[in-house]
Amino acid sequence: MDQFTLMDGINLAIIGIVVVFSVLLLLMIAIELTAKLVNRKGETSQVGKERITAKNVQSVDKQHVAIITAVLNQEVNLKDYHIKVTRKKEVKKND
Amino acid sequence: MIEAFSEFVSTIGLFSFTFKQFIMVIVSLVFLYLSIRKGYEPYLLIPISFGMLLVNLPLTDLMSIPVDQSNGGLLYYLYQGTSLGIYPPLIFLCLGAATDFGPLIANPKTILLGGAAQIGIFLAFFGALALNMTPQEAGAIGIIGGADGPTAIFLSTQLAPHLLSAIALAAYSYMALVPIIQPPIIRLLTTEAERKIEMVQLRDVSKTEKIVFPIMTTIFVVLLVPSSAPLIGMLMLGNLIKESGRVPQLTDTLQHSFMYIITILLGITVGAKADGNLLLTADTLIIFAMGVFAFAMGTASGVLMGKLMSKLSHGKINPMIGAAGVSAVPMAARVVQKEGQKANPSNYLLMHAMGPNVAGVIGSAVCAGILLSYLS
Repeated sequence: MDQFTLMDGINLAIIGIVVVFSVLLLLMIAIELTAKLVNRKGETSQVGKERITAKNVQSVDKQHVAIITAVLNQEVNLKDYHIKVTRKKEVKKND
Repeated sequence: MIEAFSEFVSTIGLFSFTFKQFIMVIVSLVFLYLSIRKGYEPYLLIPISFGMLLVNLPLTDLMSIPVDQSNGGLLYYLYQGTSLGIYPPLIFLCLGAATDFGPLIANPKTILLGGAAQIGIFLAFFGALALNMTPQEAGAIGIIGGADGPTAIFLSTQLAPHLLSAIALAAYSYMALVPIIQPPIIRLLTTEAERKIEMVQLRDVSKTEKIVFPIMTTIFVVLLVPSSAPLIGMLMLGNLIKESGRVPQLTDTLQHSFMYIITILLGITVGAKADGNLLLTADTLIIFAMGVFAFAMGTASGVLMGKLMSKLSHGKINPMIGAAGVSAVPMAARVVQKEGQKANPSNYLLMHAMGPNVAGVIGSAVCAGILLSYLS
């Protein structure tokens, strides 16, 4: 360690940054894969990708409005209802 | 009679008070004032500054080393938990039990922001080297940029124990100053339009994902950087205990009683290392200067990475959340939330900023492991 120069410092800094990013990148991929494996049925993975806005609420029928209102009020969890596909289709139709 | 009196006088601390001890007592009183009156990191700064006060009062022998048949001082024995690197991983155990990695799992891309914010550590390491510090000292100083107190203490005890108190004080002082240090940097590096960006609502994270996460992270990170095992291992164990949902009493103990016990022990023993002869040196000034540099660079690199991700995602990511990558949980995330609301009152960035925030904890522990494996 007596021979540690500024150049060694630069090398260590570069190696350190590369290693940190590699570890975190691998971890990110692992999290994504786990999510895909765990949520294979697609129950939770789709939820939330589409932001619930007033526009969306207007685009669905009354029953869905009631459910989404309950979700917005945090009374129920959206994943408990199988309305995802229907809602997405209707949003597209309206768009 | 006179002899007995003079012998008694020699045991009175007042007459043995040195100038450096006096200065350190004043410094400890200032830190006590800041922690109690101003609320700067009171949980740690109160025990740290009181430990500093105690050890600088003369003739207390609280940190004296045991010699032959005589026992050592009370704080000397308590300090073994710090010097042997026991308390910081135990704090991580408690932190793990108190941390929700849900926002990170819901939006894994934000983990990269936690990595970018660690660049400040290596820039400060390089800066300290340029200022003629030894590699070990530079490594211990650089980790202040991780804005993670236990990590900074852990690495200092392993690489530069003589700088421990100055590094701990700098780390906790800057963490308390997050709401003052970060906003100008964020505003300097982002445009008004970028700060207004609203982010999409996070998805739900299933219980299984939350249970798998600590196990998977431990295996991945420890396999790649084994020297980060004490910190990452304990952090993830604490989190697994919480997420398993099977041991609520353990979770409760870790989140409350155990956390506070270790905090007191860690704080008072770190303060007890603040001996005037060690702290009142030019090195302390370098530590504080490089510490704030590391912190600022970490914030800046996190925001710049956020800007890059914002561009790549066509404006779906608010670059400000990159600033939360410096750990400092949850202060940095709160700063992002406040800045977001200033730009756009309907902007709620707190949960989005929590992703990089907890990723920063993992990132700084990984950095500590890298520095430890190279420099120890």
